[in-house]
Amino acid sequence: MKNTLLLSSLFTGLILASFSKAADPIPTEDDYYKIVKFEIPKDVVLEAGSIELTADNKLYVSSRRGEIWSIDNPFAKDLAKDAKWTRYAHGLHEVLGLASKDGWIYATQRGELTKLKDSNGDGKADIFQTVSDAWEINGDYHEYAFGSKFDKDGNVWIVLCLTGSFNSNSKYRGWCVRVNADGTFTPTCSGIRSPGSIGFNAAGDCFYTDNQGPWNGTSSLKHLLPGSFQGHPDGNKWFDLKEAKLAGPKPETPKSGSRMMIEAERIPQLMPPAIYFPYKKMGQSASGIDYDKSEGKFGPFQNQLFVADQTNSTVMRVHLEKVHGRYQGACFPFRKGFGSGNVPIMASKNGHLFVGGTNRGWGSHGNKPFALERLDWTGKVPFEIHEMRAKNDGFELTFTHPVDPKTAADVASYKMSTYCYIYQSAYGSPEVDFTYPKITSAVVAPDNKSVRIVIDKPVAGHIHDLTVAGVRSKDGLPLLHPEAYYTLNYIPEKAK
Amino acid sequence: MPDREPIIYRNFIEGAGARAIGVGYPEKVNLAFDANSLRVAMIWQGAFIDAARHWRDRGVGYQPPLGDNIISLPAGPTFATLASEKENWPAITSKEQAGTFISYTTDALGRPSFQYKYADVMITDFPTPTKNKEGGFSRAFTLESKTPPALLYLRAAVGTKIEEQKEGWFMVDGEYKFRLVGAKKPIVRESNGKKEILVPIVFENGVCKLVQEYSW
Repeated sequence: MKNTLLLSSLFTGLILASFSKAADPIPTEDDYYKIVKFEIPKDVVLEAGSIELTADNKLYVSSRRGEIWSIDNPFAKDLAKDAKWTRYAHGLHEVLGLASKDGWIYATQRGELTKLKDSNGDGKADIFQTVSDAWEINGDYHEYAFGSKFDKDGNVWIVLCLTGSFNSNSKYRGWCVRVNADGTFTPTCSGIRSPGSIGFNAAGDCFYTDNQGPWNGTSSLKHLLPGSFQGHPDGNKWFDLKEAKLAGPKPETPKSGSRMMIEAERIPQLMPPAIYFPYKKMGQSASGIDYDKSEGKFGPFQNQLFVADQTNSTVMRVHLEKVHGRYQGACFPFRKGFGSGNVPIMASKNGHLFVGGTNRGWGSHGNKPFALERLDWTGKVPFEIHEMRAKNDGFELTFTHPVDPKTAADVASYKMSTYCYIYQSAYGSPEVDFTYPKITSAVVAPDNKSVRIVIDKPVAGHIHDLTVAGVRSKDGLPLLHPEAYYTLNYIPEKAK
Repeated sequence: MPDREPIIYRNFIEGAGARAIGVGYPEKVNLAFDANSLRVAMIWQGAFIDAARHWRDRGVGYQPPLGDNIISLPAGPTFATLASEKENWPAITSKEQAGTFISYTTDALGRPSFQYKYADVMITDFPTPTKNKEGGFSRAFTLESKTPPALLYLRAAVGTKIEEQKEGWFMVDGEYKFRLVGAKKPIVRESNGKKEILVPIVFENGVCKLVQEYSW
């Protein structure tokens, strides 16, 4: 046994040595973004459901067991020493949304949006006021409710998980609804299946993550345009309710076994996912959403979205653009190795990303039952694909560092396949309809910061799965993550 | 088990619905408020509740109370307006018909006071453990309305057998006793084959206060 270990470590050493010809080892994610752990007080089971940072720099974290903890000094270097924990509330029903406004904390519980206040200043909430309970729950564990922060009009957006995977047995299950701070309730989108979170991009548009299952071939990020239909038809029965008229006309039921873009052409309300996260390649349970609002304090990804994955204990990165008036774009791996199953994330303006985890009921690579962590930028910029934009005949890639023009102009540095999913009522879908486009040219821009690749030929409605294994930075480094997955729902017109 | 201050537990509680608010008091009495039908659905003694069902795996199903002497209080609304004293007590057909759940606030000891609205009446329902040796609750109601409805009643109890005892106590089916403090004279009636105790709610300057005590 001892000998085997020795041999295998020798072998690993040899491989590493052959990889890094230079003296410096190949950098890893940890060289650029460090995971810093919060020390959760003993006896506290903080299965994280949501995170909110208030104007006074207190971090509020809700748990699936119904507690809300407030943490002073969440930016402290030494979190074990300086972060101060207070139990702000307890006894709530599985809080998966936290927001704040005018001194109140808003908590999305399974059955209602509630606002809480500490009126006597002892650090604990003593008012628990129902803002809206206009949707229903019937006791099914699957009927989760995820709530957003406030939008600019004073609304919390709430996505309501179906009753199980297939059915909507309680009012507005399978819907996105908006609740204004004044209590106004607005049914907004139908077609939700099993959300993992909800959040906004830099433009203030609302997105949620949905998960592989019926009518969802894989996990995805979807734009909650008011009046749109997100793809799972069972909740459409609630269009019969009077107030549901606010969400527009009831969409036609999609044909099972079809393809998303074929049905989207037929059903005007059907919103194709902005981003598919290919199953297992990117993750298995997409969850928390937030965007980089740090203006450079968190690295080079300003305004891009971060999306967590519960199963893989990762945070992914997303670049969106609008083509034919709808969001689509690319996802990239960003950071792995979190402690538990990531659910909520929250980015701060001063350049940190808070990540909460739980793996109860759904296992995760990070093996801790729950975790709260902070991702800090080390100040070094990783060599990454910065943006991937669709063109009429291929893609444009920009990079975070200048590329080595020789490897970047070599078509052999790139490999692409395309595929899509069966849009169907049965659970999930394999990847289908594969094509293998040929990279016909790769032209490096004069500043060496972008490359225009032309392919033969792009396929509308397909994920374009790109591996950029051959490109080196001008310093000779490979990409930290050579993979990119572009959801090409629409091919842009030829530039004039 | 609540130690110093009450434990609140909102979850699926058998007998109190999907939006139950369980409260376990250090005095070893417990209750479950149903936020859909706006009523205290159950009171019981001893241990509060075992949360393991909801805190293990995905948390499937309803959990009953853990303790002893579980009393299910009458189904249906706590307060209702009747066209006459002969009219049957209404059933709750929907959440909206039951009224509106407004809030709960907790006092310095962490005890919740429930607020809900029915027929333009704001009702504050504040149960606190009593100090009698069997264990019990004192439930202080405050009703406020700018436009008080006529013929509004509190249904204090429903039972097959309700016997009046000394000092204002009534024994219900030999299970528990209750009495009313500061209330108008109750009406004892037969309805749907059962005995019911109704208390007329009379507002003075838009307010009515009364207390219902439970002992069992």
